[in-house]
Amino acid sequence: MSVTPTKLKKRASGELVGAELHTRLDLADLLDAESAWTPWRFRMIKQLHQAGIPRANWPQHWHWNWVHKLLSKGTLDIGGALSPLRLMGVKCEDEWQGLVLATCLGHQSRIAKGGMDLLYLKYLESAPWNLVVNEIGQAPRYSGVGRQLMELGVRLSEALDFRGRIGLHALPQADGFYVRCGMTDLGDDPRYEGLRYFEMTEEQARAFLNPGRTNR
Amino acid sequence: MMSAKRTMTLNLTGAEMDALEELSKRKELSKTAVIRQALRLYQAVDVRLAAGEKLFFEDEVEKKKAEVMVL
Repeated sequence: MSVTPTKLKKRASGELVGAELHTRLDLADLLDAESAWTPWRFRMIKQLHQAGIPRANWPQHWHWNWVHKLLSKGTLDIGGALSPLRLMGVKCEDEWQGLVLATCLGHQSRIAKGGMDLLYLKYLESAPWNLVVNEIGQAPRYSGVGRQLMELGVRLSEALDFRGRIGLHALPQADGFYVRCGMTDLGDDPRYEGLRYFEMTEEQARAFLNPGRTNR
Repeated sequence: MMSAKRTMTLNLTGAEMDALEELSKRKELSKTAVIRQALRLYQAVDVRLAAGEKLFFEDEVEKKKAEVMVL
């Protein structure tokens, strides 16, 4: 497992604290994350329910269970050297602050011609305490986790020789985030529960990794 | 991001090399990256077949599903 130091900003104090980017997690890491995230998710939903907030305004991924999702795909092999699935994450103060599950097989660019491969991000999620949930007064503990997860994806895509190309389907509440990452919105995908499909091209990946620099 | 690497020599027929070069060119991948992808795919398929599962291709538009015959 490769670990790279990074920083996350504590939202309350603005303080930058040390964090780690992990590029190959296994099932034990996933179970660690789920066992911390699941109770928080349900406390959050209970508060939203008690406050009379309609379900349409709840975080759309509140019911996600990563282990169940993996089992439904028929595999829990996320840590193997040859596994096409790669789980990566951001850890800070001994807790997982965000996870991203990617696959390098079976997905081709819908923008680049010639069936070019890309890294497909199956799931990307920040820890539930990092969500903004105004209805119950929850401010995120750390900011910038989503962007760091995206960076893990782009860098893995580069390491695979995919030149930073990434594809994903987004929940509607996350559409804005992926637009801010510079991805192309290719619209609703009827083959994928009507979710919007976003893709990051090679050029967009370069711009994402080097914000402020002009493309060649 | 990658583990320590080892080097090997690969003997391919002309047709196999042509296929490798065509894939490498079309997908803008190095030949090594093509081989790595092929190996991942082979291993992933092999594990599922060994577990008694079948491999299918599905055309969602045409609503067609065909089992891939794996030798």
